[in-house]
Amino acid sequence: MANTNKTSTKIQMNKCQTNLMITWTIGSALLLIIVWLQIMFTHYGNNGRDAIEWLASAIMPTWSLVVGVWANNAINKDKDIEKVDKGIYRAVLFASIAYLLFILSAFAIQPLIARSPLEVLKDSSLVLALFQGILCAFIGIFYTYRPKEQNVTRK
Amino acid sequence: MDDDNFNKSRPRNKVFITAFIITVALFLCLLVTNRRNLPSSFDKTPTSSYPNTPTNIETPQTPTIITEASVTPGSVLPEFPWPPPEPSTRAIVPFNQLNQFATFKDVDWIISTALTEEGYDERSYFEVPYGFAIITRLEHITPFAEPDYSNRWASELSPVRLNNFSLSNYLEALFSAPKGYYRVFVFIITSDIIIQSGMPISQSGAQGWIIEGANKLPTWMESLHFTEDHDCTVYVYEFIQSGIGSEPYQNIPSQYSGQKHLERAGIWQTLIRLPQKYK
Repeated sequence: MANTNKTSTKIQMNKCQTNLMITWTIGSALLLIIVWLQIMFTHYGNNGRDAIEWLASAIMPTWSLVVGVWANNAINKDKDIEKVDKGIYRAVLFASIAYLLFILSAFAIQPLIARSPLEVLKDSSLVLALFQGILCAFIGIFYTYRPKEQNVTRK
Repeated sequence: MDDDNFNKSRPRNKVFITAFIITVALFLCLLVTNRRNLPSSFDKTPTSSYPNTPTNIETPQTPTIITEASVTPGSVLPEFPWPPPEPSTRAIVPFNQLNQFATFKDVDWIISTALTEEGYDERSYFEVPYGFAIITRLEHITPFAEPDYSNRWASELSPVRLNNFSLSNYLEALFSAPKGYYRVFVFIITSDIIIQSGMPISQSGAQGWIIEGANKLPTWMESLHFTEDHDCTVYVYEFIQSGIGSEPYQNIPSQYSGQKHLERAGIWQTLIRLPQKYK
Protein backbone atom coordinates (compact mmCIF):
# COMPACT_ATOMS: atom_id res chain seq x y z
CA MET A 1 0.00 0.00 0.00
CA ALA A 2 2.81 2.33 0.98
CA ASN A 3 4.67 1.43 -2.22
CA THR A 4 1.66 2.27 -4.35
CA ASN A 5 1.47 5.73 -2.77
CA LYS A 6 5.16 6.32 -3.40
CA THR A 7 4.93 5.44 -7.08
CA SER A 8 1.85 7.64 -7.58
CA THR A 9 3.76 10.75 -6.41
CA LYS A 10 6.52 10.25 -9.00
CA ILE A 11 6.47 10.87 -12.72
CA GLN A 12 8.96 10.09 -15.44
CA MET A 13 11.38 12.93 -16.05
CA ASN A 14 11.40 12.63 -19.84
CA LYS A 15 7.60 12.83 -19.91
CA CYS A 16 7.70 16.01 -17.82
CA GLN A 17 10.36 17.53 -20.02
CA THR A 18 8.36 16.73 -23.15
CA ASN A 19 5.22 18.28 -21.66
CA LEU A 20 7.13 21.40 -20.64
CA MET A 21 8.73 21.65 -24.05
CA ILE A 22 5.32 21.34 -25.75
CA THR A 23 3.79 23.95 -23.43
CA TRP A 24 6.58 26.42 -24.02
CA THR A 25 6.76 25.84 -27.77
CA ILE A 26 3.00 26.22 -28.32
CA GLY A 27 2.82 29.24 -26.02
CA SER A 28 5.80 30.95 -27.63
CA ALA A 29 4.52 30.22 -31.14
CA LEU A 30 1.12 31.70 -30.27
CA LEU A 31 2.71 34.85 -28.88
CA LEU A 32 5.01 35.16 -31.88
CA ILE A 33 2.04 34.86 -34.25
CA ILE A 34 0.19 37.62 -32.35
CA VAL A 35 3.18 39.97 -32.48
CA TRP A 36 3.86 39.12 -36.12
CA LEU A 37 0.25 39.95 -37.05
CA GLN A 38 0.43 43.18 -35.04
CA ILE A 39 3.60 44.19 -36.88
CA MET A 40 2.09 43.28 -40.24
CA PHE A 41 -0.94 45.49 -39.53
CA THR A 42 1.35 48.30 -38.26
CA HIS A 43 -0.02 48.11 -34.75
CA TYR A 44 3.29 49.46 -33.45
CA GLY A 45 3.88 51.87 -36.34
CA ASN A 46 7.58 51.88 -37.11
CA ASN A 47 8.48 50.34 -33.74
CA GLY A 48 7.66 46.71 -34.53
CA ARG A 49 11.26 45.78 -33.86
CA ASP A 50 10.90 46.90 -30.23
CA ALA A 51 7.92 44.60 -29.73
CA ILE A 52 9.80 41.60 -31.15
CA GLU A 53 12.79 42.42 -28.95
CA TRP A 54 10.55 42.63 -25.91
CA LEU A 55 8.95 39.27 -26.66
CA ALA A 56 12.27 37.59 -27.45
CA SER A 57 13.77 38.72 -24.14
CA ALA A 58 10.68 37.46 -22.33
CA ILE A 59 10.43 33.97 -23.80
CA MET A 60 13.69 32.96 -25.46
CA PRO A 61 15.87 32.31 -22.37
CA THR A 62 13.40 29.91 -20.76
CA TRP A 63 12.20 28.38 -24.04
CA SER A 64 15.76 27.61 -25.17
CA LEU A 65 16.55 26.10 -21.75
CA VAL A 66 13.47 23.86 -21.78
CA VAL A 67 14.00 22.77 -25.39
CA GLY A 68 17.73 22.28 -24.85
CA VAL A 69 17.27 20.01 -21.85
CA TRP A 70 14.55 18.07 -23.64
CA ALA A 71 16.75 17.59 -26.72
CA ASN A 72 19.69 16.50 -24.59
CA ASN A 73 17.62 13.92 -22.76
CA ALA A 74 16.06 12.72 -25.99
CA ILE A 75 19.57 11.92 -27.24
CA ASN A 76 20.64 10.23 -23.98
CA LYS A 77 17.97 7.55 -23.72
CA ASP A 78 19.48 6.06 -20.54
CA LYS A 79 18.02 8.90 -18.50
CA ASP A 80 14.52 7.73 -19.27
CA ILE A 81 14.35 5.88 -15.99
CA GLU A 82 14.73 9.11 -13.97
CA LYS A 83 11.69 10.10 -12.02
CA VAL A 84 10.70 13.37 -10.47
CA ASP A 85 8.24 14.46 -7.85
CA LYS A 86 4.81 15.17 -9.30
CA GLY A 87 4.34 18.21 -7.06
CA ILE A 88 7.47 19.91 -8.35
CA TYR A 89 6.54 19.11 -11.93
CA ARG A 90 3.05 20.53 -11.47
CA ALA A 91 4.44 23.65 -9.85
CA VAL A 92 6.80 24.21 -12.78
CA LEU A 93 4.08 23.52 -15.33
CA PHE A 94 1.66 25.85 -13.55
CA ALA A 95 4.30 28.61 -13.26
CA SER A 96 5.15 28.23 -16.96
CA ILE A 97 1.51 28.49 -18.04
CA ALA A 98 0.95 31.44 -15.70
CA TYR A 99 4.04 33.17 -17.08
CA LEU A 100 2.96 32.65 -20.70
CA LEU A 101 -0.54 33.86 -19.86
CA PHE A 102 0.94 36.94 -18.24
CA ILE A 103 2.83 37.73 -21.46
CA LEU A 104 -0.36 37.12 -23.42
CA SER A 105 -2.23 39.52 -21.15
CA ALA A 106 0.33 42.25 -21.90
CA PHE A 107 -0.90 42.07 -25.50
CA ALA A 108 -4.56 41.42 -24.73
CA ILE A 109 -5.04 44.54 -22.60
CA GLN A 110 -3.53 46.90 -25.16
CA PRO A 111 -6.88 47.77 -26.84
CA LEU A 112 -8.46 48.43 -23.45
CA ILE A 113 -5.93 50.98 -22.21
CA ALA A 114 -5.52 54.56 -23.41
CA ARG A 115 -1.78 54.21 -23.80
CA SER A 116 0.53 53.31 -26.64
CA PRO A 117 1.04 49.53 -27.03
CA LEU A 118 4.80 49.77 -26.55
CA GLU A 119 4.36 51.66 -23.29
CA VAL A 120 2.14 48.84 -22.03
CA LEU A 121 4.79 46.27 -22.96
CA LYS A 122 7.61 48.26 -21.37
CA ASP A 123 5.68 48.78 -18.14
CA SER A 124 4.72 45.13 -17.88
CA SER A 125 8.37 44.12 -18.24
CA LEU A 126 8.95 45.36 -14.69
CA VAL A 127 6.65 42.67 -13.28
CA LEU A 128 7.76 40.24 -15.95
CA ALA A 129 11.39 40.32 -14.77
CA LEU A 130 10.31 39.35 -11.26
CA PHE A 131 8.03 36.64 -12.61
CA GLN A 132 10.78 35.30 -14.86
CA GLY A 133 13.15 35.08 -11.89
CA ILE A 134 10.68 33.02 -9.88
CA LEU A 135 9.98 30.78 -12.86
CA CYS A 136 13.69 30.18 -13.47
CA ALA A 137 14.10 29.23 -9.81
CA PHE A 138 11.28 26.70 -10.18
CA ILE A 139 12.76 25.26 -13.37
CA GLY A 140 16.22 25.12 -11.80
CA ILE A 141 14.87 23.15 -8.84
CA PHE A 142 12.95 20.88 -11.17
CA TYR A 143 15.94 19.98 -13.32
CA THR A 144 18.40 19.53 -10.48
CA TYR A 145 16.18 17.91 -7.87
CA ARG A 146 16.66 14.16 -7.49
CA PRO A 147 14.84 12.00 -4.96
CA LYS A 148 17.13 10.40 -2.35
CA GLU A 149 16.43 6.82 -3.41
CA GLN A 150 17.31 7.68 -7.03
CA ASN A 151 20.67 9.07 -5.92
CA VAL A 152 21.36 5.88 -4.01
CA THR A 153 20.44 3.76 -7.04
CA ARG A 154 22.78 5.77 -9.25
CA LYS A 155 25.69 5.32 -6.83
CA MET B 1 69.08 56.59 10.33
CA ASP B 2 68.15 59.65 8.21
CA ASP B 3 68.30 57.50 5.11
CA ASP B 4 65.90 55.06 6.74
CA ASN B 5 63.49 57.87 7.58
CA PHE B 6 63.80 59.20 4.07
CA ASN B 7 63.15 55.76 2.60
CA LYS B 8 60.17 55.27 4.90
CA SER B 9 58.69 58.64 3.99
CA ARG B 10 59.12 58.08 0.25
CA PRO B 11 56.00 55.95 -0.20
CA ARG B 12 54.06 58.46 1.92
CA ASN B 13 55.26 61.29 -0.32
CA LYS B 14 54.16 59.32 -3.34
CA VAL B 15 50.69 58.98 -1.82
CA PHE B 16 50.51 62.72 -1.14
CA ILE B 17 51.68 63.57 -4.65
CA THR B 18 49.15 61.15 -6.19
CA ALA B 19 46.37 62.55 -4.01
CA PHE B 20 47.33 66.08 -5.02
CA ILE B 21 47.32 65.18 -8.72
CA ILE B 22 43.92 63.49 -8.40
CA THR B 23 42.51 66.52 -6.56
CA VAL B 24 43.79 68.91 -9.24
CA ALA B 25 42.40 66.64 -11.97
CA LEU B 26 39.01 66.51 -10.25
CA PHE B 27 39.00 70.27 -9.85
CA LEU B 28 39.77 70.73 -13.54
CA CYS B 29 37.02 68.26 -14.47
CA LEU B 30 34.50 70.17 -12.33
CA LEU B 31 35.59 73.44 -13.91
CA VAL B 32 35.12 72.08 -17.42
CA THR B 33 31.72 70.56 -16.54
CA ASN B 34 30.50 73.84 -15.04
CA ARG B 35 31.54 75.76 -18.12
CA ARG B 36 29.53 73.37 -20.26
CA ASN B 37 26.46 73.84 -18.05
CA LEU B 38 26.44 77.62 -18.36
CA PRO B 39 22.97 79.08 -18.81
CA SER B 40 21.67 79.19 -22.37
CA SER B 41 21.66 83.00 -22.29
CA PHE B 42 25.40 82.81 -22.71
CA ASP B 43 24.87 81.20 -26.08
CA LYS B 44 24.54 83.24 -29.21
CA THR B 45 20.92 84.08 -29.99
CA PRO B 46 19.85 82.37 -33.23
CA THR B 47 18.51 84.63 -35.96
CA SER B 48 14.81 84.57 -36.71
CA SER B 49 13.64 82.42 -39.59
CA TYR B 50 10.37 84.29 -39.91
CA PRO B 51 9.89 86.80 -42.71
CA ASN B 52 9.71 90.46 -41.72
CA THR B 53 6.25 91.91 -41.95
CA PRO B 54 5.12 95.32 -40.74
CA THR B 55 3.03 93.72 -38.03
CA ASN B 56 5.60 91.13 -37.11
CA ILE B 57 6.76 92.91 -34.01
CA GLU B 58 6.83 90.02 -31.61
CA THR B 59 8.02 87.21 -33.82
CA PRO B 60 9.50 84.29 -31.92
CA GLN B 61 13.27 84.32 -32.13
CA THR B 62 13.77 80.58 -32.14
CA PRO B 63 12.22 78.21 -34.70
CA THR B 64 10.06 76.31 -32.22
CA ILE B 65 6.60 74.86 -32.70
CA ILE B 66 4.03 77.52 -31.91
CA THR B 67 1.81 76.34 -29.10
CA GLU B 68 -0.39 79.24 -28.11
CA ALA B 69 -1.70 82.58 -29.20
CA SER B 70 -0.23 85.64 -27.57
CA VAL B 71 -2.50 87.74 -25.43
CA THR B 72 -1.44 91.35 -25.13
CA PRO B 73 -2.79 92.94 -21.97
CA GLY B 74 -5.10 95.82 -22.74
CA SER B 75 -5.95 94.77 -26.29
CA VAL B 76 -9.56 94.03 -27.03
CA LEU B 77 -9.01 90.76 -28.84
CA PRO B 78 -6.18 88.35 -28.22
CA GLU B 79 -3.69 88.26 -31.04
CA PHE B 80 -3.54 85.30 -33.31
CA PRO B 81 -0.01 83.94 -33.90
CA TRP B 82 1.30 86.00 -36.80
CA PRO B 83 2.50 84.97 -39.29
CA PRO B 84 0.14 82.03 -38.84
CA PRO B 85 1.47 78.51 -38.44
CA GLU B 86 1.76 76.40 -41.58
CA PRO B 87 -1.73 75.08 -42.45
CA SER B 88 -2.45 71.63 -43.82
CA THR B 89 -4.37 73.28 -46.63
CA ARG B 90 -6.22 76.54 -47.31
CA ALA B 91 -9.00 78.08 -49.35
CA ILE B 92 -10.22 81.54 -50.21
CA VAL B 93 -13.93 82.15 -49.75
CA PRO B 94 -15.26 84.35 -52.58
CA PHE B 95 -16.88 87.15 -50.64
CA ASN B 96 -16.68 89.52 -53.58
CA GLN B 97 -20.48 89.48 -53.89
CA LEU B 98 -20.61 91.58 -50.75
CA ASN B 99 -21.46 95.20 -51.46
CA GLN B 100 -19.36 98.17 -50.46
CA PHE B 101 -21.40 98.78 -47.30
CA ALA B 102 -20.71 95.39 -45.81
CA THR B 103 -19.02 95.50 -42.45
CA PHE B 104 -17.02 93.03 -40.37
CA LYS B 105 -20.26 92.38 -38.51
CA ASP B 106 -21.88 91.13 -41.72
CA VAL B 107 -18.95 88.90 -42.52
CA ASP B 108 -18.98 87.60 -38.97
CA TRP B 109 -22.72 86.91 -39.29
CA ILE B 110 -22.23 84.97 -42.55
CA ILE B 111 -19.41 82.83 -41.17
CA SER B 112 -21.10 82.32 -37.80
CA THR B 113 -24.38 81.29 -39.44
CA ALA B 114 -22.60 78.84 -41.74
CA LEU B 115 -20.75 77.37 -38.78
CA THR B 116 -23.77 77.18 -36.49
CA GLU B 117 -25.83 75.43 -39.17
CA GLU B 118 -23.26 72.68 -39.29
CA GLY B 119 -22.95 72.30 -35.54
CA TYR B 120 -19.84 74.42 -34.93
CA ASP B 121 -21.42 76.23 -32.00
CA GLU B 122 -18.17 76.92 -30.25
CA ARG B 123 -15.80 79.42 -31.85
CA SER B 124 -13.25 81.98 -30.82
CA TYR B 125 -12.21 85.38 -32.11
CA PHE B 126 -8.69 86.69 -32.50
CA GLU B 127 -7.17 89.83 -33.83
CA VAL B 128 -4.97 89.68 -36.89
CA PRO B 129 -3.34 92.59 -38.71
CA TYR B 130 -6.07 94.65 -40.43
CA GLY B 131 -8.75 92.17 -39.53
CA PHE B 132 -9.82 89.31 -37.35
CA ALA B 133 -9.88 85.54 -37.26
CA ILE B 134 -12.56 83.03 -36.29
CA ILE B 135 -11.43 79.66 -35.00
CA THR B 136 -13.54 76.54 -34.69
CA ARG B 137 -13.16 73.91 -32.02
CA LEU B 138 -10.99 70.89 -32.79
CA GLU B 139 -13.26 68.24 -34.26
CA HIS B 140 -12.88 64.54 -34.92
CA ILE B 141 -13.28 63.80 -38.62
CA THR B 142 -13.36 60.72 -40.81
CA PRO B 143 -10.49 59.92 -43.19
CA PHE B 144 -12.74 61.46 -45.87
CA ALA B 145 -12.77 64.89 -44.16
CA GLU B 146 -16.39 64.59 -43.00
CA PRO B 147 -17.26 65.26 -39.36
CA ASP B 148 -17.29 62.05 -37.32
CA TYR B 149 -20.70 62.58 -35.75
CA SER B 150 -20.39 59.53 -33.49
CA ASN B 151 -17.60 61.13 -31.47
CA ARG B 152 -17.23 64.58 -32.99
CA TRP B 153 -15.54 66.54 -30.22
CA ALA B 154 -13.12 63.88 -29.04
CA SER B 155 -9.55 65.08 -29.21
CA GLU B 156 -7.89 61.68 -29.02
CA LEU B 157 -8.54 58.03 -29.77
CA SER B 158 -10.28 56.17 -27.01
CA PRO B 159 -9.68 52.52 -26.10
CA VAL B 160 -12.29 49.78 -26.50
CA ARG B 161 -14.90 50.27 -23.79
CA LEU B 162 -15.96 47.24 -21.78
CA ASN B 163 -19.54 48.51 -21.39
CA ASN B 164 -19.85 48.70 -25.17
CA PHE B 165 -17.65 45.73 -26.01
CA SER B 166 -17.64 44.17 -29.45
CA LEU B 167 -15.23 41.44 -30.48
CA SER B 168 -14.66 42.87 -33.94
CA ASN B 169 -13.69 46.26 -32.48
CA TYR B 170 -11.44 44.57 -29.96
CA LEU B 171 -9.63 42.47 -32.57
CA GLU B 172 -9.29 45.48 -34.84
CA ALA B 173 -7.73 47.48 -32.01
CA LEU B 174 -5.51 44.53 -31.02
CA PHE B 175 -3.95 43.98 -34.41
CA SER B 176 -4.19 47.23 -36.32
CA ALA B 177 -3.37 50.79 -35.34
CA PRO B 178 -6.56 52.86 -35.34
CA LYS B 179 -6.03 56.32 -36.80
CA GLY B 180 -7.69 59.45 -35.55
CA TYR B 181 -8.19 62.50 -37.81
CA TYR B 182 -8.81 65.93 -36.34
CA ARG B 183 -9.36 69.38 -37.82
CA VAL B 184 -9.49 73.06 -36.91
CA PHE B 185 -10.77 75.78 -39.26
CA VAL B 186 -9.30 79.26 -39.03
CA PHE B 187 -11.17 81.96 -40.97
CA ILE B 188 -8.84 84.91 -41.46
CA ILE B 189 -10.45 88.15 -42.61
CA THR B 190 -7.82 90.70 -43.45
CA SER B 191 -6.65 93.08 -46.14
CA ASP B 192 -3.06 92.19 -45.39
CA ILE B 193 -1.16 89.55 -47.32
CA ILE B 194 -0.70 86.32 -45.40
CA ILE B 195 2.58 84.51 -45.43
CA GLN B 196 2.51 81.55 -43.11
CA SER B 197 5.42 81.04 -40.75
CA GLY B 198 6.38 77.68 -42.20
CA MET B 199 6.24 76.17 -38.74
CA PRO B 200 3.73 73.45 -37.90
CA ILE B 201 1.57 73.62 -34.82
CA SER B 202 0.91 70.94 -32.26
CA GLN B 203 -2.61 69.63 -31.79
CA SER B 204 -2.68 70.85 -28.21
CA GLY B 205 -1.64 74.31 -29.43
CA ALA B 206 -4.46 74.44 -31.97
CA GLN B 207 -6.84 73.04 -29.37
CA GLY B 208 -5.90 75.87 -27.03
CA TRP B 209 -7.06 78.57 -29.46
CA ILE B 210 -10.70 77.92 -28.64
CA ILE B 211 -10.02 78.68 -24.98
CA GLU B 212 -7.70 81.62 -25.54
CA GLY B 213 -9.90 83.49 -28.02
CA ALA B 214 -12.71 85.96 -27.35
CA ASN B 215 -16.36 84.99 -27.54
CA LYS B 216 -17.32 87.75 -30.06
CA LEU B 217 -16.08 90.70 -32.04
CA PRO B 218 -15.74 93.97 -30.14
CA THR B 219 -18.22 96.65 -31.18
CA TRP B 220 -15.61 98.99 -32.65
CA MET B 221 -14.42 96.20 -34.91
CA GLU B 222 -17.92 95.21 -36.01
CA SER B 223 -18.42 98.60 -37.62
CA LEU B 224 -15.27 98.39 -39.75
CA HIS B 225 -15.90 98.03 -43.48
CA PHE B 226 -15.13 94.89 -45.42
CA THR B 227 -13.46 96.55 -48.40
CA GLU B 228 -12.41 95.23 -51.79
CA ASP B 229 -8.96 94.64 -50.38
CA HIS B 230 -10.26 92.27 -47.74
CA ASP B 231 -10.27 88.53 -48.22
CA CYS B 232 -11.56 85.63 -46.23
CA THR B 233 -8.90 82.94 -46.23
CA VAL B 234 -9.63 79.67 -44.49
CA TYR B 235 -6.68 77.83 -43.02
CA VAL B 236 -7.31 74.16 -42.30
CA TYR B 237 -5.17 72.52 -39.64
CA GLU B 238 -5.47 68.75 -39.87
CA PHE B 239 -3.96 66.36 -37.34
CA ILE B 240 -3.48 62.61 -37.36
CA GLN B 241 -3.09 60.35 -34.36
CA SER B 242 -1.58 56.99 -35.29
CA GLY B 243 -2.69 54.63 -32.58
CA ILE B 244 -3.98 55.02 -29.06
CA GLY B 245 -1.68 56.97 -26.78
CA SER B 246 0.52 58.31 -29.55
CA GLU B 247 1.21 62.00 -30.06
CA PRO B 248 -0.89 63.52 -32.88
CA TYR B 249 1.02 65.30 -35.63
CA GLN B 250 -0.03 67.88 -38.17
CA ASN B 251 -0.80 66.45 -41.58
CA ILE B 252 1.01 68.67 -44.08
CA PRO B 253 -0.19 68.76 -46.79
CA SER B 254 -3.70 67.47 -46.35
CA GLN B 255 -5.04 64.84 -48.69
CA TYR B 256 -7.91 67.19 -49.57
CA SER B 257 -8.02 70.80 -50.68
CA GLY B 258 -9.26 73.52 -48.37
CA GLN B 259 -12.46 73.89 -50.38
CA LYS B 260 -13.08 70.13 -50.17
CA HIS B 261 -12.70 70.28 -46.39
CA LEU B 262 -15.24 73.10 -46.24
CA GLU B 263 -17.60 71.27 -48.59
CA ARG B 264 -17.41 68.02 -46.61
CA ALA B 265 -18.03 69.98 -43.42
CA GLY B 266 -21.10 71.51 -45.09
CA ILE B 267 -19.86 75.08 -44.59
CA TRP B 268 -18.87 76.00 -48.12
CA GLN B 269 -22.40 75.88 -49.50
CA THR B 270 -23.69 78.31 -46.87
CA LEU B 271 -20.71 80.60 -47.28
CA ILE B 272 -21.54 80.91 -50.98
CA ARG B 273 -25.30 81.23 -50.48
CA LEU B 274 -25.49 83.82 -47.72
CA PRO B 275 -23.48 86.72 -49.26
CA GLN B 276 -26.01 86.89 -52.10
CA LYS B 277 -28.30 88.67 -49.64
CA TYR B 278 -25.89 91.58 -49.66
CA LYS B 279 -25.82 92.10 -53.40
